[in-house]
Amino acid sequence: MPHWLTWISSSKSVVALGTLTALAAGDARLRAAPDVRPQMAVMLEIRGDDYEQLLPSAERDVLLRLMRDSVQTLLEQNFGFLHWRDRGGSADTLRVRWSQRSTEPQDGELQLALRGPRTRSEAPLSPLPFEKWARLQTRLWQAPSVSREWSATIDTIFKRQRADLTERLFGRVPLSVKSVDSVVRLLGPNLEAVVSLLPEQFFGADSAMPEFMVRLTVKDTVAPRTVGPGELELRRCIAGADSPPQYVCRMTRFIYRQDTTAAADRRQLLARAILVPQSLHLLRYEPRHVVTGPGGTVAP
Amino acid sequence: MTPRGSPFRALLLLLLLDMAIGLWLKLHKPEALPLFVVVNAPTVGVLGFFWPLLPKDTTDRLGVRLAEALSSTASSRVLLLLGGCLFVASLLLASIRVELLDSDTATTIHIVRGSQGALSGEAPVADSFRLNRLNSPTSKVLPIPPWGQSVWLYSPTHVLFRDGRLMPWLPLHLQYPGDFAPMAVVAALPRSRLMSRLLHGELRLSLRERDGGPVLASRVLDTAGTMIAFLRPSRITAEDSAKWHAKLNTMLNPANDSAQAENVALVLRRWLATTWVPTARPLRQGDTLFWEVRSTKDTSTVKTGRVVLDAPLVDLDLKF
Repeated sequence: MPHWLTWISSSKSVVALGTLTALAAGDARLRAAPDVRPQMAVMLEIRGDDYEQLLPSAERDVLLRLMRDSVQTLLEQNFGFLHWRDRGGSADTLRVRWSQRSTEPQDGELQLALRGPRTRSEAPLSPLPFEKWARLQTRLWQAPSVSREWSATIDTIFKRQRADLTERLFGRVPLSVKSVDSVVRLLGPNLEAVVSLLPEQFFGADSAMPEFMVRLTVKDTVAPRTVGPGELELRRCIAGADSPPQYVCRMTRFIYRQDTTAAADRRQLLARAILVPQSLHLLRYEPRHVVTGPGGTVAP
Repeated sequence: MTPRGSPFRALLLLLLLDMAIGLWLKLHKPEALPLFVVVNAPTVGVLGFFWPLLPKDTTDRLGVRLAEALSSTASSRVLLLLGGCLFVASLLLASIRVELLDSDTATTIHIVRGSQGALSGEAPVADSFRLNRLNSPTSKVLPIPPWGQSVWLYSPTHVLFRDGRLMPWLPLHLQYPGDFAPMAVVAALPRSRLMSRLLHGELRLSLRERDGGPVLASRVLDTAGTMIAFLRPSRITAEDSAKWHAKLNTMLNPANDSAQAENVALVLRRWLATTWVPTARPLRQGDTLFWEVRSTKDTSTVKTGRVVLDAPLVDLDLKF
């Protein structure tokens, strides 16, 4: 190897140059890939006999104000595939309601519900156990301390139940993909699908293996040529090496005409029918590490 | 010179006075009767023994003087006055006699003038005495008006079944505990659903004789168990505590979930931190009382009901 080449390859400047090139490429890739996170608004409510009695309305307003920031931060950390900072014009709203069980003991519950045109009328999520009635009775009801305690509880709930909440609630909000056709290719005969998305687009971890759900229109080509809505779960996704970057996923569960079956059981239908994707949803999500500054990241 | 009369008149008065005193003591203070007899009999006996031993002229002289003394009008008047005073005194005194039926019992009996139903506050105790197998039966003499007076008695656990009436010359004879009814305590226990409201003193519980009747006890409720009783109840027994714990488990934790232990423990702790509310009259087992809970803000009725006092400690579950 020529001397000048050895010098260049061992030089730190090459490393720096390489890094800059990679960063520039990453930025370019990010710039090129549009953010598919749907805009969400958050609405907070406190209901329940004991909450009404123990929390004066002025203190309740302060608490709700404090909790709004905390909840938005926790939602960003755990369900970052939705955009939780209200930029105006949000179409869908997450209602976070603190309530109580109707029967004794009236333990505190957390009700999460989605409202809006993009979220279909889903079966409501069962309230999540939030705090014991005894704690509610013995706490000092001052907004700052309650806010700290509630935030910690919500953080624990979100971390422990992230997968479940993603699949059963937050994943019901479709990703903001302008043309689903261009992002999702359904390969019925192979029981596979190709999803052309970058992790950055939905704020997912680079190393994550997301799972998706596609709502689609199924047009059967064989008599009686039925046409109807269906749902297809895409799991075991792996990142492909092709360009543009894409995930190759297996079709697992298929819901069509109110029948829920394994996709493999309806291979023939999936192979012959025309599958028109309508909306793309995330079923499994791993948050992207949050860059906090030089030398540090926070893993939610 | 004092006029003279027959000595037999004074002697008769003396005998009547003696018999009347003996009879009154027999009726009202039988334990004092032996003392009266002990004083009377030797006096007569000693006199009867020594009288024949005295010289005849001495006995004659003493006999004459005694006859003269008894014959005098003053003697008769004194005896009449004394008899009259004692009779008037006998009209102003009456007695209660309490006999213990259960020899294993030892208790303190309190006597209260008036009627149980007419009480409007604290019952002033006229007299108290211990009753046990050694001093049973025990009599107590009380001053009364000549037309008589109602009284009632209670022990720490029992109360006279119905008021008694003290009359001159008619002693009130009672048996304990045969003539007494066991007392009851009402434990007003707020359910967990109610407790936050009680923190602000929003509700008042009243116990009445009947719907719209006189108030026996009333109190603004708080989260503690309220013990409604005539006398300050003793500490909650381990059995009662266990009973409440079982009740709470049934209400709050039917699935026997260990996660609910915290809730059960809090309610039980509050119930056991009891507050005593005295009643205007003793609550007898067997009574049926009316209760009501009203708002302290606008006195509107929140809930009413009846409670049957069928046990020494009756739970009144407050849930609405």
